[in-house]
Formats: sequence, C-alpha cells, structure tokens
Amino acid sequence: MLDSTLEDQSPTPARNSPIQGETEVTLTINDESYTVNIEPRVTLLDVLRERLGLTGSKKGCDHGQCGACTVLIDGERVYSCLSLAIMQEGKTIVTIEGLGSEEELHPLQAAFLENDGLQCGYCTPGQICASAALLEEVKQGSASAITPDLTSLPDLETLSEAEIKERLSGNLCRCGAYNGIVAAVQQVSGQAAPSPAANILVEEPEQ
Amino acid sequence: MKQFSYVRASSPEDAVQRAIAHQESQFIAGGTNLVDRLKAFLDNPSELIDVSRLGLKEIETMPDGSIRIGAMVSNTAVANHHQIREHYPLLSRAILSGASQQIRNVATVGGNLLQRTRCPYYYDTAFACNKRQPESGCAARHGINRMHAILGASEKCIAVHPSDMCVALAALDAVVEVQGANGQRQIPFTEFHRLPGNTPQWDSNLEPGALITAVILPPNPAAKTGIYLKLRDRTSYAFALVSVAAMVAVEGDAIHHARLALGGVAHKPWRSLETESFLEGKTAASETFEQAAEIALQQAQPLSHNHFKVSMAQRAIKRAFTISAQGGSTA
Amino acid sequence: MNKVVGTSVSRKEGLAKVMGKAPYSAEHSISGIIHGYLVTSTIAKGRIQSIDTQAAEQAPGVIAVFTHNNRPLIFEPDNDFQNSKIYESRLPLSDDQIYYGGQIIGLVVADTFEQAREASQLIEVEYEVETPLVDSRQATYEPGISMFGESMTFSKGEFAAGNFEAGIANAAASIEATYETATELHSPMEPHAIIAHWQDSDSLTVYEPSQFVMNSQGTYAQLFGILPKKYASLPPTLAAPLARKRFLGPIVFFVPLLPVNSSAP
Repeated sequence: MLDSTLEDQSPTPARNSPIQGETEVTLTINDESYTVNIEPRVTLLDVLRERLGLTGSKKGCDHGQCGACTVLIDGERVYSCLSLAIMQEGKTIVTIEGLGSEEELHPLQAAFLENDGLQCGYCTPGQICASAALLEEVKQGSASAITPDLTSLPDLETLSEAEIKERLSGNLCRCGAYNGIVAAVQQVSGQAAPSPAANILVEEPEQ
Repeated sequence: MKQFSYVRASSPEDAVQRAIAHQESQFIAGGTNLVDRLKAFLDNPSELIDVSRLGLKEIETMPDGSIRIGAMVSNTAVANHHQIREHYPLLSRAILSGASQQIRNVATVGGNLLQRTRCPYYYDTAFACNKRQPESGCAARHGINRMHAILGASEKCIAVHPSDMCVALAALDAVVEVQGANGQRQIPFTEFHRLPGNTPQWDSNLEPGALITAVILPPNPAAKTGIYLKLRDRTSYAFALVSVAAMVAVEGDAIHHARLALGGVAHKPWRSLETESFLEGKTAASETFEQAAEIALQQAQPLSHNHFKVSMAQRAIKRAFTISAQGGSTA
Repeated sequence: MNKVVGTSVSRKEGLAKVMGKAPYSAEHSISGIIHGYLVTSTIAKGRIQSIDTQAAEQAPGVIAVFTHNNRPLIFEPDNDFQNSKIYESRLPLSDDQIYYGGQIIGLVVADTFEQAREASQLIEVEYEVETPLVDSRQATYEPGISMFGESMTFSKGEFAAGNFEAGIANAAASIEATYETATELHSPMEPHAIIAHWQDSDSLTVYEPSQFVMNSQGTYAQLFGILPKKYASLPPTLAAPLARKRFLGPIVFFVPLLPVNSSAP
C-alpha cells in the first residue's frame, strides 16, 4: 500500500469535547491533505464523492453490502459508506484515484482491462481496491473461511480460484464479470490466468 | 441519520462517565452495524462517543493460560492471531465465515457482541416491530419468517442474533469483561445476551453506559478439535440459516468436554447444556451424535416458513460432532 | 474469419473505468448543487388521508417539500413512443391515491443529502388503507396506451396444459438431466440518480442513465413545456444504462420540479 509522504501533517485533533454541527476535518487521501467542513454524520464515501469530487468510489447500496465503495484505510480494505469521515482523521486513505495513473496503471487495473473484468464498470473501483488488499493479505498470511489448514496458508502462487472468490465475496458485480475479475487477480498473483482471447470453438475455413 | 454531536473518549472510564451523563448517547467503534442503523433511523442518538481510539487492541496470554482479547481488536486480527488459530480454530473459522473482509477489518470484538439481534422487519420502518418500537407488534411472526428463530423465541420477537463469532465464544465458555459505573465486572458469555421475552428491545444484559473492555477465553485443551459449521443461502457473505460450534474430546471411546452452541436459531447464541451433559461419558459413535442432535432441537418451535431449520440443524450438529471426534479441522 | 472474433479487445471506456474516472450520472460537479430525497408510500393500496410537511419544511437546510398538494405544473406527454415515453402514465404526485408500495409521494429538497434525508423522516402521513389485489388472475385489464399508433392492450392470458407424461413417453428421443443455476437478480449496480441543471427558464441539461437519449429529450420537453432543441441530455457513461433504464421512470419528473440546480439521488 502507499505510504503517506506528507511531512507537515498537523496532529490529529483530540476531539475530547463534543462537536456540534459542521466542523473542519482534515483527511489524508492519496497522499494529499484535504480539509472539509462537515457534520459528524457525513460518511467517508459522501465526503469523497460530494465534497471532494473523488467520484471513483461508488455508491451502490450505501449499506455495506455491494462493496462498490471499497477504499483502503491504513492499508486495509474498508467500506467507506459505513465509515464516518470524522473518525478517519490521522489515517491514510487510498482510493481508486490514488492506486495508479494513466501512465502507470496499478497491475490490477491493467489486468482488469486485459481480462475484461468489467462491463458497466460501476463495481470496478471497489473490486480493484478490494483485490489490491487481497493480494497484500495473502502475502501477510491471512486465512479465509475456506482455507483448508489454518496453520498452512496459501501464497499468491497457490491461491486457488475458490479462495479468490471467497476473499472477494464482499464485492458484488451485477453484470456478472466475475470470471474476468478472478482471472485478473490470478494474473497479478503470478498465476497462469485463462487466455484473454475468447474461448470460441471456431476454426479458420479451409482455403 | 439524525444530527448528533461527536466526541472522542480519552479512556474507558471517561467513555463510561460520558455515556452515563448523556443518556441519549451511544458508543461507536467500528460502526459497521451502527452507521447502517443510523441511516435507517433505527437508532437516533443525540451524541456518539468514539471509543475506537482507547487502545484495548491487545491479544495477550494471561498467567492462568487464558487469552484476553481487547474489545477494540478487529475481527480480522482475532481470526488471524497465531494462538487463536492454533488453540481455538473454531473461533477463527467462525469469524472468517462471517460478513466480508471489509467488515471484519473494521468490526471490533466488542461491537460484534453488541450488533443488534435483528430481522428484515426490524429494518423496515413501514412494519410493526416490538424491538424497534416496544408494544407495536411483530410483523415477522406471521410474515416471511424463513430466517427466523426456532428456539427461545417469544410472541413479541422471533429475530435471531446474526453473529458467527459469538456462537464460537458461547461454546468456548468465554467471559465478557465490562467497565461500568461501579468499576469492572465479568459476565459469563452465555449470560451476556438475552432471549426476547416481553422486552425484545434489550439484546444484552449490559447496563446503560457500560463498555465492553475485553473478551477472555479460558484455557481449553479440547478446543483444538472444535468445529464451526455454517449453512446459508449463499456460499459467502450471508447470515447463517443454521450454524454449529461443536467440540468433543475423546479418550478411548468416551466423550469428554462436549460443547455445543448454535447460531441462526435464536435471539442469542444458543448454548445447549442438555446436549452436552447427555454426551458426557458416552461412546463417540454415530448413534450417539444423532441422539445428541435430537436432544438439542427437542424444544424447537419452527414457524410457518422455517421447518427446514430443525432437520438442517440436527444434521449439522451430527456432522460437526463426528468431525470433532475424529480430531477436528476442516474448512 | 474476421479479426475481432476470437481476439481480445479492451473496452473503449475500460481505461477510464478501471481508474475510477468514468463519469456516471451522479458524478458531474456543478457548483451550488442541492439534493432531493424521495418520500415513498409505506402501504400498497389506498389513499393519503393527510400529509404533514410542516416539520420537514422547517428542518435545517430544507429548501422545499413537494407533495400532491403543491406539485408544480407539468404537462401530460404524448407517451406514444415516438415523441415521448414514460413508464407510468399517471404523473407522480397527481393525487392522493396509492397504487403500489414504494410509490413516490413526496420530495424533500435541501442543501445537503444528509439534511434532505433527515427531513424526509419528519413528514407525517396518514393513510386510508385498502387491501391490494395481488392475484393477477383477478385483475381487470384496461386498454393500454397506443404505441406508434397501434394498440398495446394486454389481453388476459389463457392457460392450458397438455399431458407431459404421455408426451415424453411417446417422444422419439429424450434426455434426462438436472441443470442448476445460482439465483441471479437483475438489478444494475448503479442506482438511479439524476442531476438537472437549469441554465435558464427554458434550457435544461439532465445527467441521467438512459438507453433512449433522444426520446428522453422529447419527453422532458413535453413535460415541462420547453423546446426540445433547448434541452440537452447527456448520456453519462457507455454501458452504464443497462436494462431498467430505458424510459423515464417516475423519479425523473421530480428533477425539473426544482426551480434551481438540483440532484435527486
């Protein structure tokens, strides 16, 4: 995950006396510092989309069920729709906009493109952020509900398709691009992903 | 979501004092359930007290061999802790089978205990719900009650506690450490949550203003063979229709230290002491576990749409005990 | 064989989508934007006896509350498929009748989304509840609206069953197999959302997911009595408007009810 390179960060306010109404909240997002004037009830997702114009994080269900709002907070994947923005002061937030640039796509962004892991694209930023965290979790030896042996964990090379699906179950895709999504994660894991060419049973006609 | 004020507690004592002084306040830690309820106007606190920065994030081994898990430890951190994986694998499995990675990363141990026992009718304010509004009625009882309780329900409420982690904790004889107005106290896990009775608005026996500071797992050599089995409509990211936390230690052929808790069947994690005492000293055999499963569901009162839960639970219990008797482990 | 079949082609808008830069309908930054929040019926059939919006109107940040009691003037569109098309022929907030659960019965407009949502809860509605008809066999069928000049009236279906057992026994060949498929719900991920931007009293830009841009333009023009050429509807992002987003649903009528810039999430 990206490390914050901000050097002159002001210390996180203590907030030991109750905040009423709007207040200044400073958030570190994609290595930049943003200050917004918000009520405590505003979610991180609504700050990103409505206040900062960072609309890459999507609002699908707004209830923590679809995963389209997934961002990384201190390196871990989180539903931004269930997170109050004021509670994220002092933390490092990375959204899809901070994952890669047009010149240098994140490997997952390139792999999603190559493996067609999307159609309408509305779930895609969340899928990619979740996948980025997934790869990191596997490297750090985290288990899933279907890991056969909790004392012998899969690495990126041995991560099965079923593991990838289980670990991405917090992100829905209503277009059904799941096969491409799994292939993209396999590819970035260093596994042989299915051929991106459509598997069509046609042959060149005899000349 | 109504307007509320927001304050960060500086210590557990400070949090409790603030909560007692301000009765319409609520604690927030991970917020994965609370923020959702706020959006639906199910909870309308006038102040949120942020307890997520109080520390309480340690998992430590105590001198007596028990493991003390701080209330603010994330579900993910518990599931992946090496001692939990090794000594209490069913707890790791239960946690990992619940919610999604995004939720588990944020949700805390204390918060998992305090998520509301709930059902779709509770969430939809167009319907009557005694839990949401005492004495307003229960639309679920004669509604679509497929997901609802078959044990310990009341006329007032048939919702089930959705936690997976808590089912394992119930089977593991965990203890909840609580900071209240009069200092610390410990609550045995099985006494922490409540059955609905006539007051379904109360899910737990936590007194107003009290804060969970830790959950303690007593040493338990049999826990290594523990099994958590979860059955649900989807392969992942769905509440249990039925879940089972079960363990037995077998010496020779005789069963010792049987433990059984069920999820998805009651207003609280359902511990079955009758089944446990029946199993004690019995031979570890298929018929024994079949009888045990029958005993566990003897009191079941299925609703119009969930008769299937009874036999589903019985089969899951039998299977879980069988695997545990063979030494445990399985995904 | 051509060069497309069997080869991998990246989506034209794929790069923007994987970077989170593809603009969807609710993602256009317009200064001074305000927010609408819908109030919907909690009964399936009946009548609104009373709807009290006083508390909502006085809530912080609220600009206006619309119900059937104060709906601004909109015009019946032709609804003939050629010049205009709307899903529900009854215009929203036309009267106090409730035809289905979740029917839109009001709109709260406020400075922020949070304020509009909170105020929506302050609206008190009293209903006269009737029992809804949920059995299609008991339904009466009325002549439908004309499409391209042809009647689209649905006729009551007639059902007949043959003898499957006998048929399969006499079949020349048969195959017996079980096929299973997971439950699939057809519901696009992007929620319905609209931004309406009035440049002046007869010039409007709408950002919405649509599969039928020209028709939407005509419909808006008829609804609000403006000239189509003054009105521009921008398709947001290719492939975003999946099914269920073909014609204008009830939500869109509210957008231009608002006197100023607004969005109705």
